[in-house]
Amino acid sequence: MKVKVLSRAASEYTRETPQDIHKIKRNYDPKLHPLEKAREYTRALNAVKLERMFAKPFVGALSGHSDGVYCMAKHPKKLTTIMTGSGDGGYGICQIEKQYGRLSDIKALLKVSVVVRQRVIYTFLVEPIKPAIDHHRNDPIFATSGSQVDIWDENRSDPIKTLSWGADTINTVRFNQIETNVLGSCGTDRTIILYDLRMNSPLTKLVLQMRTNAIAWNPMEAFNFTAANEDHNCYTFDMRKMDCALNVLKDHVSAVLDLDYSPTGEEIVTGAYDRSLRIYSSRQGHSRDIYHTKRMQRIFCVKFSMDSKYVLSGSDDGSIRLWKAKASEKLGPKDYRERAHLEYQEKLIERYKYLPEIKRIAKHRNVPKAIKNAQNTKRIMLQSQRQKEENLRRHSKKGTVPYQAERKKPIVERQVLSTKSKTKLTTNSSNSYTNNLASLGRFYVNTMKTIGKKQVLRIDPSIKRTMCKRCESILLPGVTSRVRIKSRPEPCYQVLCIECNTSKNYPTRKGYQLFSEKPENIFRSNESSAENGEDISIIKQTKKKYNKNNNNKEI
Amino acid sequence: MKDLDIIDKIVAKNLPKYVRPAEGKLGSRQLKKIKDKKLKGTLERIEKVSKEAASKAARSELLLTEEPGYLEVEGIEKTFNITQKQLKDNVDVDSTKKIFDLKLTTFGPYSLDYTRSGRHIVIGGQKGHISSFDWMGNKLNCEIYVKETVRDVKWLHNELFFAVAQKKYVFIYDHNGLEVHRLKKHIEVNKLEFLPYHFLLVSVGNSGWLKYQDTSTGQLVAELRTKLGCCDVMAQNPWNAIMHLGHSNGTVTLWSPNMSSPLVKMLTHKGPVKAVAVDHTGKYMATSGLDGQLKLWDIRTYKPLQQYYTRSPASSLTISQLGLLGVGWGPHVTVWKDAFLKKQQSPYMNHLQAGTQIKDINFCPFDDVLGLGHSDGVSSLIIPGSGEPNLDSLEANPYQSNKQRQEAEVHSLLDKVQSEMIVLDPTFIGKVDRASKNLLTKELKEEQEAQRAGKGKLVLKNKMRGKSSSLKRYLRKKQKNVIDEQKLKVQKLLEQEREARKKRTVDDGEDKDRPKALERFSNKKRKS
Repeated sequence: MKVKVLSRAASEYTRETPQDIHKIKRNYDPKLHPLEKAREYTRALNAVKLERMFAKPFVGALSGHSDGVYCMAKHPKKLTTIMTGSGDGGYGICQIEKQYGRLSDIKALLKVSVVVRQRVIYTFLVEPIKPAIDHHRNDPIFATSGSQVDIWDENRSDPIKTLSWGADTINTVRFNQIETNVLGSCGTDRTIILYDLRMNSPLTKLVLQMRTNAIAWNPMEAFNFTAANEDHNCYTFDMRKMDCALNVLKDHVSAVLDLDYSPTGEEIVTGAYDRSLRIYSSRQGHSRDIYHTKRMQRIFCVKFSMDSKYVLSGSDDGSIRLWKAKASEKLGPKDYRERAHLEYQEKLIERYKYLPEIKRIAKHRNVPKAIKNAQNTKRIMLQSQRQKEENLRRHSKKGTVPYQAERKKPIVERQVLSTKSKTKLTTNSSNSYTNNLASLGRFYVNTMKTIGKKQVLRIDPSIKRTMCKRCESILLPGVTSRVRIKSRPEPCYQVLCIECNTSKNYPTRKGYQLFSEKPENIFRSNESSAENGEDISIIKQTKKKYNKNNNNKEI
Repeated sequence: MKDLDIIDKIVAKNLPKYVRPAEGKLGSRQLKKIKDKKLKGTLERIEKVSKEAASKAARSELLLTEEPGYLEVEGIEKTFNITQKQLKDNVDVDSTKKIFDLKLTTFGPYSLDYTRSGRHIVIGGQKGHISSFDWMGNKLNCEIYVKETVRDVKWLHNELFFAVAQKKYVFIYDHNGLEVHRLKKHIEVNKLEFLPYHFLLVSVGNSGWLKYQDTSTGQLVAELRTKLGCCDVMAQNPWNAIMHLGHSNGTVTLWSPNMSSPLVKMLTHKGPVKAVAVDHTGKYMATSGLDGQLKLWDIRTYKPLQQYYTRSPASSLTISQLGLLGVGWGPHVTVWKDAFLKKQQSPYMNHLQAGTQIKDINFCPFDDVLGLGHSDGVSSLIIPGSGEPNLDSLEANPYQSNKQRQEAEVHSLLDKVQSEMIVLDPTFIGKVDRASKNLLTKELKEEQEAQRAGKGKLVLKNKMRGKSSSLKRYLRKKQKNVIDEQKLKVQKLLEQEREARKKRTVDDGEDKDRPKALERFSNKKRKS
């Protein structure tokens, strides 16, 4: 008989002295680990809850500026140094030091107009328009913008090169960090212009529907850049192929004012007029996180720190805020086991992220009421626009109203400055007006109407008749409207808006006068001054009218 | 070089065990069709990682130190002829201690239960003797006499608490034998089970109600009416936490706390079912009935594999970690090896506990020991090759210190699985539901409707007290086993009402200032 019975020596399984660590035996046989999926799911659920619980992104605020912080630059090599510029004409160099999790405030505050690399080497005279400035990565060259882009050498007092392409004012210039001779700018005429320092003229120009406020080059992919647009979105472009955006970053509810890439090129931070900053994964369309505080005002500049762990924002309220790039990350050193545990939690969340409960918890953010309301309004607006377009599509000939890609929508025009012909225009599509400019036109008309209402002004009929009363698009006979002459029921001409199918009749019978052309409605200023001394009550009655007419004349 | 080949062979042999079921996985052809390169890359990476994980797990098996026990004989000797006495002479000194016999003739027959680590045992004599002890360290934890019938005993999540089904209620005692809880909702319980990952104590008894109680929160999770009368046969499927009940009409029903009707109903025997056992992989089930049959089932297909005839009906069944089947019938215990794989001609081991009736048998986890409770006490036998040789300290550790136990308790509470996740296929979580669209929409609609029904306003008639007060009627009318928000609300209201009434009656007794009915006729003026 051969027999063997399990007989374990306790010393094999227990530690010898209390100073030793416990002996852990593992056996990965699935039979010993039942319900693994359910247990893992539970762990994932706990992990995602903890992640939200520990999400406290705000690290600290740096005060010191007496006006809003409108520009910011980070030192490319020193992790803790940033430079900020304020509306009061001052600038500050901040030395961010982590001392027990606290920050020392701004160290020095000097007053100079433009400074290069911390030390004041030269003071340059730049045009008094709000200038933007960016330094070349390696060479002693920097670019400023105003009505044109000027390239300066640090050792010369005059610009070495001046580049312009029809913009009124240029808001931003930004050097590419890999292809260091390439730079981009964006101007008030809704353009993004790309330049190459090795050439004497700009490369390309891209016209978008709305103005671009800032651009940022991807630090890892030399040819990609992202533009922060006034229409609440950011658009990522490949500079080699700009007829379609690579990505559209949505979620903001107001104009995006600044953005910056993380040094890895994986994430983008944006600051917006809606008093919030958002962090996006550069390849996804919606934000990963939103940061806001009660006191933070409109954000004018944002920066990712060079270790991609922190995010800086400068806002209208004059303080610079420091945030964690990952809201729930623990600051300070972590020991090996803690790190392993956190990695495990992250992996669990990643694995179960599509399950409804986990998705719900991971997605949930508390958002200020103003933003929440704006989101709702925006959703309704976009929905109605989509519905309108869909209705139009349904009631018109098949194929006449094509679907348009969201990534192509913002692009109005792309121009290339070739060396042979001075300017060669390549428009994006044949009926570019109806597709692209129509909404811009509507926007302007709407603005005009709003201003008119606010100021209590009448729009002159000659202008008013060029706009659709219902959809507010500009009526160009043959392009956006159809004009027909009618004799019945009374002689008139009918203008039909093609956009929304609204028709309006304008009588043309003999002796027809508009309200404003009727003699009793024309206000005579002489009479009113005569009455002025006699009867005050009349003046009060006519005052409103007077104002109206007076303003009307000015227009 | 040769060693490496051997290692590869071992890994290849072990690999299938660690490969997770791959339903819904894309084949290479489907993968080729995907146009999105990023998605394709991600899927391929996931595939690669899971393969690597399986091979690494298989490789880690080389590091396991212990080998399973065995019993081999030569020539015409048979393993089933070997007695415990013979074994005792042939095993090492430590192992001889595992064979013992506790003579407790006055309080028998005994039922028993091992903890998940196998270190502690609790025994309960039917006439009221309960004792728990550390049988490996020969240490008595507690010994109590409850002076009433004890029907079943069960450890809770660790060796600090155990539950006892007594004459009327279920009680929970701590390791010192102190009564901690009396579970009034569990009445006349015959069998107890505990689901360690869900912290659910499950009971079934004379009234045929299956009740799930959460021992971490104290909440009664589900009360299910089996509608099949008195039940004293219950086993849990350790793989998916489904309860198997054996009934007097010969059926075995499978239950989860989320359904008011059984998930599966199997007709297993022509007479009442006497015992049920489910193996650790959740693939096989053994049942025995009063018709003298012992049947083995595949519970993936719900089809019988083998059946054996027992001379007297088997009163107790148990399956060890390595798949040995223990059968207790009359005074005998028979152990079968590889019973689920093919029909066996002879048993692996035999044991006769002369002059007794066996009530309960249990294999000790992580040890080659079989414990049996019978009318004359409790005995422990050595069955070589029954227990898992290599333990996982983070799952169940017989050698854990107090600190480790506390740590493990906290972790297990954090990882507590919700009872809603008890389903027949536990790997379903996180998978895509591939049911037909019609079915899915129907389910969704039902769910929404149920939600809406829960949200509806509670309209009650204005009948305040008595047996058929509106709240009580509502409680009675609704499905009893479903505890939803509405029901909790009603229960709370009822409780408040009761409290208010109580208060009112107390006030009446104490309130002296109130004018009495006949006072108006008296001359005395009332004191203000």
